[in-house]
Amino acid sequence: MTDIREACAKTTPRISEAEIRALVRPDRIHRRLYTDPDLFDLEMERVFGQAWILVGHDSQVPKPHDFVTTRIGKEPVIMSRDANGAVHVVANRCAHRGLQVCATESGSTRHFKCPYHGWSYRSDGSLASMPNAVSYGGRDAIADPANGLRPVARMAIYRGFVFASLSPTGPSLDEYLNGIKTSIDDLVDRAPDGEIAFVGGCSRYIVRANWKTQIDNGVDLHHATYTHVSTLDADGRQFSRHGGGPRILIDGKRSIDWEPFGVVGFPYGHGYQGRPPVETLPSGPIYEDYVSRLVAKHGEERTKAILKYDRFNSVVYPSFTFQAFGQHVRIVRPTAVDKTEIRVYPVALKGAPEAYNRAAIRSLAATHSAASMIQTDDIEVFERAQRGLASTSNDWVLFAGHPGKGEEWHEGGWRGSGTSEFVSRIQYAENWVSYMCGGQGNAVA
Amino acid sequence: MLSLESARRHDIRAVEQFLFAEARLLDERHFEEWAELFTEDGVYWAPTRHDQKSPEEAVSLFYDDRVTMAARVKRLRHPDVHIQIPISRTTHLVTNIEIDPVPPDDADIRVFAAFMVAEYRENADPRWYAGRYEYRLKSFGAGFRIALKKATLVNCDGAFTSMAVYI
Ligand SMILES: [Fe+2]
Repeated sequence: MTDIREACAKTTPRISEAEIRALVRPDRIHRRLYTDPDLFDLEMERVFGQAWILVGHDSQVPKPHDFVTTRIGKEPVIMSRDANGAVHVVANRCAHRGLQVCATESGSTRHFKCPYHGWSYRSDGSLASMPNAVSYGGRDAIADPANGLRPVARMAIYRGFVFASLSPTGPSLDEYLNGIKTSIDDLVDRAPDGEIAFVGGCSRYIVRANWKTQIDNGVDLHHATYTHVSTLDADGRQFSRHGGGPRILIDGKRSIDWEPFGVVGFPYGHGYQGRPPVETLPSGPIYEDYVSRLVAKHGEERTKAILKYDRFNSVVYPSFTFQAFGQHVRIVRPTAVDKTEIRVYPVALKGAPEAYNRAAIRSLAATHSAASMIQTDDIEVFERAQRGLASTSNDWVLFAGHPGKGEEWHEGGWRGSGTSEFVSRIQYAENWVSYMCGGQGNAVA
Repeated sequence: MLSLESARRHDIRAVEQFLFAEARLLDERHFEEWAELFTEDGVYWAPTRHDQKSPEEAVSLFYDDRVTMAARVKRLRHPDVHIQIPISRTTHLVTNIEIDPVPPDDADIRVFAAFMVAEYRENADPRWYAGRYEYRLKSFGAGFRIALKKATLVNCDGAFTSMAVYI
């Protein structure tokens, strides 16, 4: 395979390795990680250019010749399904003059045709034809892979989640995901058919803040008491998310004790928050129909294990978060040092009753859209952080709560107290520094 | 399109005045009074697709029945609603108002209109929204109640910075 990065030479970083290392201490990071555009450029090249990044889900391209376009860091890519059903991730860049060959978000096409000189590419990225081919050397030029849409260096799929790495070397996806696969399994196993699908469109919100604010937040239970206080009723319970069902108990008044909930972290910076603070499981005829379909497939005991909520948000560093409770996946797309786009995809559990999946789509309006009542609280604090970090009065952003990593955890990694900030410490001190110094992650600074 | 007969039947001036008053309640932040304009099963909806038929076919920006609306309005009055400190000042322009000559079964009157909304919070850049409204109204005493207010933003399928108040 040809490395996508061959196409553009690496820039010489204006920031030295010694300087990068000085920006991160075991329990704190320099404010420049959120505010320095040069560091942002280097992150796009060395973090998003090395780590396994979530491109999408293979259900977004269900049929041959279906495609979606997205970005990996700054690089425009197409995820497509070829005539034989294989999924590809290729650069959205004509081999001739560099144009984006596909200008739409999604669709279906046998050929991506460049509007400039008519070079035409198949749904696997290979060049199908070029007008006046003889001037480029005829049939040999058409067959030359260098004249195709360049594939990403590595692509791999776990339970439908399509990942790409722009680097030809590094850990395998399996090695990279390690213990966080239990969270992906926890979500996908809830589907009676054992598969999920991204259907129901995509809710997109813009945060006028650095992308890491969203990632930091994904393993932060403690903030809910303060950030989301306006969503609580007098009894400390959050508004009902969709016409009844379990309500989140945050209890701003009596200050809920988050410590027993726990937080779990893994190598490569992944982690999850302990169980969501819900008092009851869902109920009602649709839920019962759903449960019966799981029981038919797996029996009572296994169904009970599948349905228990032992984790809330999960984070796969550095590109997405997801939760089974809210039944969605959120992809983090850095735009600029102080601007990030988040794409929220509702998740359909294949084999579940239609009405069950439809309710999940509907409830995202209240919880995670740009106009929702929960996500907007988070957006506001991320943006307030970005503005506060313009202050040069204090260089440091702290992740010092609950020193150490806690106990060893049976899924791999560690489990810390609910308000421990150790997962962020793993992200910065063991991964961000490693990537930014040209490494492949998971190395102690 | 609009027959003279239907224009007579539903005085377009009365409909306009209702929509303008509704917009003013939002601009003046009388959210509780505004919510009272809706029928008991009334809905405020801002979809993410131009041709969206239901809030369950695709995600929505807003989908507030009266229960969710009450929760949202209550939250807007909370002393720690961070997203409204400072508050949003808005101006809603409602224009191109048409009455559908053939209203759907679930409404006495269907109204189409175009809108522009300016929003400003201190220390931030002003934000602009534009799109089309569809109202399904029911006659109520001498006036109307809203069974549906659907706000389809021209960029509804795009990405938005956070929205705290109704469009
Ligand atoms: Fe939050």
